[in-house]
Amino acid sequence: MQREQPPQGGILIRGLGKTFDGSHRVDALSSVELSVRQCEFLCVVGPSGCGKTTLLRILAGLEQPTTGSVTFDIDHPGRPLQSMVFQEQGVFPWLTVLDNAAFGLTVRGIARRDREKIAHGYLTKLGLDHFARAYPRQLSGGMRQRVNLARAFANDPAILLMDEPLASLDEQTKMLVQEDLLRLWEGTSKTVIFITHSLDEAIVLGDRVAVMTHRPGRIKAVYDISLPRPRNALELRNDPDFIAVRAQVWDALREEVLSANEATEAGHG
Amino acid sequence: MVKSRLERLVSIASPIVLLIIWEIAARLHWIDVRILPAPTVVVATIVDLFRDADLAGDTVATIERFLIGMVVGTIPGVFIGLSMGLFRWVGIVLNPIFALFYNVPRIALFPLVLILVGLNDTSNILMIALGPFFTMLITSMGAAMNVEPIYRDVARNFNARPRHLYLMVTLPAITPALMDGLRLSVGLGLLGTIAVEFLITDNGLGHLIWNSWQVLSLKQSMAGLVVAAIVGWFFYSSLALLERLVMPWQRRTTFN
Repeated sequence: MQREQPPQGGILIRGLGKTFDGSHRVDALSSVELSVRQCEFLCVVGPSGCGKTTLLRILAGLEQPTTGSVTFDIDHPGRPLQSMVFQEQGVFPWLTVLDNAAFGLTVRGIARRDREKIAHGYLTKLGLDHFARAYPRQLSGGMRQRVNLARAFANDPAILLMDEPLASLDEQTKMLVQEDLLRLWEGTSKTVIFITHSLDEAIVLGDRVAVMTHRPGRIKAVYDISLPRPRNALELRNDPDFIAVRAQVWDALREEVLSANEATEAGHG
Repeated sequence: MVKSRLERLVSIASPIVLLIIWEIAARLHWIDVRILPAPTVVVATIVDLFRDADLAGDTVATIERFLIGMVVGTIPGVFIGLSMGLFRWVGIVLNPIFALFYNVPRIALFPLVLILVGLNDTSNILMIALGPFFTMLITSMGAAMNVEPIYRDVARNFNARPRHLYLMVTLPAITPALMDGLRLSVGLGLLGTIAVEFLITDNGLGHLIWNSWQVLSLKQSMAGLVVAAIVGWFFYSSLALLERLVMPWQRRTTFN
C-alpha cells in the first residue's frame, strides 16, 4: 500500500492489461508495472507488435485498459495534462503549418493573436517560420514531423506522449529532428514518454529506457541512461559510455526480438 | 491531366466538327429539320425567344429553383451524413429510415409531396432537393466513416469539441469526396428542376421545352434544351473553380 502514489509526482502504471476482442482475441498488454518520474524523458523500446503503442494510447486516453490502472500525480494548473506527438501522417493536410501548430490552442479557445504568437514561436525554434503559411503537402517528411512537434509543444502539456514520431524519417533527418526535440525539451519541465523501436534513439534521448517483452507486452527491465546533458545526437553515438550501455540494453531486448520472431514464424507455419 | 497543344486543339475541335456535320446534314435535308433543326436555326430561335418571348425569365426561374434546391438539399445532406458517419448510434438509428426512402423512385413521391406541402414552389424545391440530398448524405456518410483514424485520434487527444471535430477535422477531410458528390448532385438537381417544370410549373426552361413540344414547336423545344444544357455546363464547370477555392491545400507546389 505504500507505493499507491508515485514518489514526488509522476505517473504510476499498475497491473495494466489490454485485450482486443475481435475475430480473434489479442492480448496486447498484460500486467504492465511502471512508474514514470515527473520531468523525466522515458523511452520505451520493444519488438514490433509488443503493445508499446497500445500502452501509449491508453496513457493518451485513446484506449481503455482491460485491467489495471494509471494514476497521474502531476500538477498541471492552467495547462493540459498530456498531448501526443503522432506519427507524420497525423498532421492535418488542410490546415496551414501555423494552423496545425496552433490546433491544440484553437480547440482550447485561445484568441487567434495569442495562439498564433505561441505557435509561431515554436515554428521559429524548429526553423519553420518561413513556412507558416504553407500547407503540409508542400513540406518534406522531416519538416512535417517538426510541425507535429510544434503542435504538441505549443499546447504546453505537462506530459508529452510520443508514438514513434521519427520512424518514417531517413537516418540523417532523424538525427536532426532528435536534436531539435532535445533542444526544445531541455528548456522545459515536461515529462516525456517516447515509444520507439530503435534502441539507439531510445538511448540518445532518454533518461531511462524501459524494455518491453514481446506480446503480451510487459515491462521487462528499466535502465538508467546516465549520459550527461545537453546531449548531441550525432557525437553521442561514438561515446564509449553510449556503446557500453547500448550493449547492456541490447542483451535484454535481443531475447525479446528473437522470441517475437519465433512466435511470428510459428504463427505462419 | 496535362494536355498537349494538339490534344487541347482536338478536344475543342471535335464538338465543333459535330455541329458542322449537323448543320450540313440539316441543310442538305439528310435529316428531318422539323425534328432536328440546324444549329444556326436553333441559335436564331434562342435569339428570337429572348427578344419576343420570356426566355430570359424562364432561364432565371430555372436557375433560381435549381440553386435553392441545391442549397436545401446538399447542406442538410452533408451534415446528416457526416453525423451518421461520425457517431455510431446516429448511423444505426437513421440508416434504415434513409435506406427505405432512398429506394423509392423519387419522382413517385411527387404526388405525396404536393398533397402534404401544397401546389406551390415549396413542393418544387423539395422535389429538386431530394436528389442532391441523398447523394450528399451517402457521399458524406461513407467518406466520414473512412476518414483516416489518426485524424480523429488527434482531435480526441487535443480534447476537440464536436464543433471542431466537424468543422476543423472531418469536414475538410471529406471535402474531396464531397466535390465528387456535388458533381453528381448538379446533374440530379438539374434533372429534378426540369422534371418538376415539365409537370406543374408555368415558367422555367422545363416548362418551355415540354410546352413547345406539346404544340409541336420543336424549334422552341430544342432552343430550351440548348439553354438548359448551357446552364448545366456552366454550373458543372464552376465546380472546378469552387474546388480550387475550398481546397487550397491540394495545390501542388513544393518547397525545398
